[in-house]
Amino acid sequence: MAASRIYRGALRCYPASFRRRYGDDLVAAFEELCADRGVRVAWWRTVLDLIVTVPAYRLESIMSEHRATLTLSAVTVTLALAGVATLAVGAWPISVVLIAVALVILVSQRSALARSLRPGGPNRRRRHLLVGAVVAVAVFACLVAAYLSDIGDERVGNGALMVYNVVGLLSLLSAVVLTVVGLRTHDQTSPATPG
Amino acid sequence: MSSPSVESHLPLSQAQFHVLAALAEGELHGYAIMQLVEEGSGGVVRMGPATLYGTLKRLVDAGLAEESDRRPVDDDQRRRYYRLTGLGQRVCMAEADRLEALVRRTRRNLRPGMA
Repeated sequence: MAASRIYRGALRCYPASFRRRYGDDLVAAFEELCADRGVRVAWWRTVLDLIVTVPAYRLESIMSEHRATLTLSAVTVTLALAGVATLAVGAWPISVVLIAVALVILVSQRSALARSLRPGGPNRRRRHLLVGAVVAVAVFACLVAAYLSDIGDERVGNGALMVYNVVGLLSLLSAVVLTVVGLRTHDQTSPATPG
Repeated sequence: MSSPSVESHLPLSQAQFHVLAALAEGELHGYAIMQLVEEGSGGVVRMGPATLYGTLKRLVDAGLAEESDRRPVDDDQRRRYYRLTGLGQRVCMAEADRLEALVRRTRRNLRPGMA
């Protein structure tokens, strides 16, 4: 059947592990859908399915597979080293952005690893919000340190000041919002309040 | 009162709850789950194959569903059947209770005299 051959080809868009585990089942379900509802309806539903699930499963695979974890670690170390190198030559705004991106990747990667090793607790959302607030405060602190070091330096242009202002404002706002929302999220380990 | 391990799986995503609710009817293969989900939602939720198997993968990895060895004699032996685990049953029930309480409260708030 031509339709199922095309669908089997389209399955190559999914991560290899998902394809190996469910490839035949996916094709079988698609063929049953074609037989039951007609090829046009089956394709309509399946194309939408591909559009939604391929990016999601790819991202999931990047965040969980060992090989991808090594790649992400390499990217994080490279960004951090580039940040330190640019710091050494005095390009503060670029180094702050590079280190901030490395920090965000590192925290996301560690969180994904921790999630895969530990069953989620009742306070998962609260914990994530507060960790996000700590990261935002760290980014803000880096920016303030960089700004104080650069202030008065004539070589620092308006573009760099704009980066300081925008990233600083965003990180400060994020820190405040994440802290407030995190603290307002119900602590499920504490006894429930009546009413 | 649910145990902490049940609580940690809540709330379920819409797809996960629909698949667990379908499996509450018995051991089913993939396409039968797709059909039951569509029927059970009055045709509103129409899953594609990858959404279904992605959801099944998450449920199996979380220990809420498992592959079954048994299948009808006259059925295609390559077909894989799935069933709820004990934890899956408890999580599905807890999610149904949670949604029921939410629906009750919403009805009460929207139609105060008809609670």
